[in-house]
Amino acid sequence: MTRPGSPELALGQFERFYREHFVFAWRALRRLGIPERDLNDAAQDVFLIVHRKLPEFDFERPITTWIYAICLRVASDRRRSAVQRHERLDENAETRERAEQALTADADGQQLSERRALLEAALDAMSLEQRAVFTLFELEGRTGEEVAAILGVPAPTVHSRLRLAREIFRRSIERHRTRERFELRRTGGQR
Amino acid sequence: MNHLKPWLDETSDADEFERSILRAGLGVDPTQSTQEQIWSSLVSALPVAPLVGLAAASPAIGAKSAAVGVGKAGTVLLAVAKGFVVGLAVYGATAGMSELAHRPSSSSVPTVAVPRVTHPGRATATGAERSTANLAPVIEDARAKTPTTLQSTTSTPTRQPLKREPELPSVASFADPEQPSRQTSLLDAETHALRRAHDELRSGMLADARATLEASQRRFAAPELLQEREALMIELLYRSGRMTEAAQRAQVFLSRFPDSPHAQQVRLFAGR
Repeated sequence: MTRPGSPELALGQFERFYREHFVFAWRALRRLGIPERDLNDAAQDVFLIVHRKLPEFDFERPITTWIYAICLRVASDRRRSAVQRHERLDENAETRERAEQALTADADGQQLSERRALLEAALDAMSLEQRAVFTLFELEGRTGEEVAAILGVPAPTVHSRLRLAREIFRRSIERHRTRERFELRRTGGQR
Repeated sequence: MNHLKPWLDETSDADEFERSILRAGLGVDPTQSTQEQIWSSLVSALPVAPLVGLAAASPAIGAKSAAVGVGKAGTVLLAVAKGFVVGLAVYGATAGMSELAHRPSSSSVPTVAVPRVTHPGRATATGAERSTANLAPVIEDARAKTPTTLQSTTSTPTRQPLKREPELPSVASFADPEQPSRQTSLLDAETHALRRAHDELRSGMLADARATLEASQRRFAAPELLQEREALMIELLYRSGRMTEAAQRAQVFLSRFPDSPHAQQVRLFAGR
């Protein structure tokens, strides 16, 4: 990314920037729990902010940290709005649609859908900060130092958030396993 | 942190089931078409330099104002003044885009009016609609003074957007023995055409916008709002993906009208 030369951001420069960082931002939003139905809108929000702020951006700072911070802010706003509307982010038409698709899909597809739903449930149980650390570390494959740099927090904070996030994840998976065992016992292994 | 192994690592302390749950969350990248779709919507929603007040600074209009100042034609003054006001309306939506970009976020402002990528079953106004709403009284005023007789040159039953001849107000329909009134009507008609082209452009109806601008070019051989039309045409070319052409035309515009109030915006399209 070449630094924009003037306070005015030319569209061509912005387009190059967009193409360079779109996947990173989109994936970050997805991992931060934006439902698929809202992902495009959220990505648009992020890049509108980027467009507005980019001419003032200090290019000595890591760009991914800045973009991720914007994604976090957008995700946080949307999460808060969803709470105000008494809406759970995972309870949407798209999730239901996916569940219905899973019913008709083959066994592998169904299993993948179930596991994704489990993952989403576990991630939804985390705070946004914990979720950010967990997904960057466990799913994006970033190192602890990289996560700290992206989030702009000290490494011990990352460590602490990751530990708590893992506990939440494990509790969520354990609840699922308990339910499975109970269901197996109830149906006599007929599932 | 170095001692922590990611759970997807086979040698970590996660069990196989936990790893399988995590693996299910991989591979969530967007498709290329998603990226293009969002870019397209983004360009429509991007702020561009406000062109409000352009008519006042427009050389053509300025010259006209001077002439009017020394002449007796008070109605021409009215016409020019109206041109200014309606010029605001034509480009008001562009100014609206700036507001839009300075909103905190769509979620914190429930009545967001950004053109969106996909909204099945969701009603939101476009930036142009919102801007139009803000400027409604001005527009309505202009419309109220515009004769309602429209000349339609479209007769084909099936719509051919690229060949469509837009229904612009007929100049003939404004024919009036009084020259100042005729000038007023001409300006009304021209403004109406540009307003329509602007709305079509903001709504993503690029073929329609092009047809409207071309029709305007044919109908108004000596336009009052030449710079405005050129600025819209340049933007249209850019949004249609004809970047080189847009850049070339923008260069011509900037060399011809270096002090134009639209120069700042036009530079955005020439800046590749």
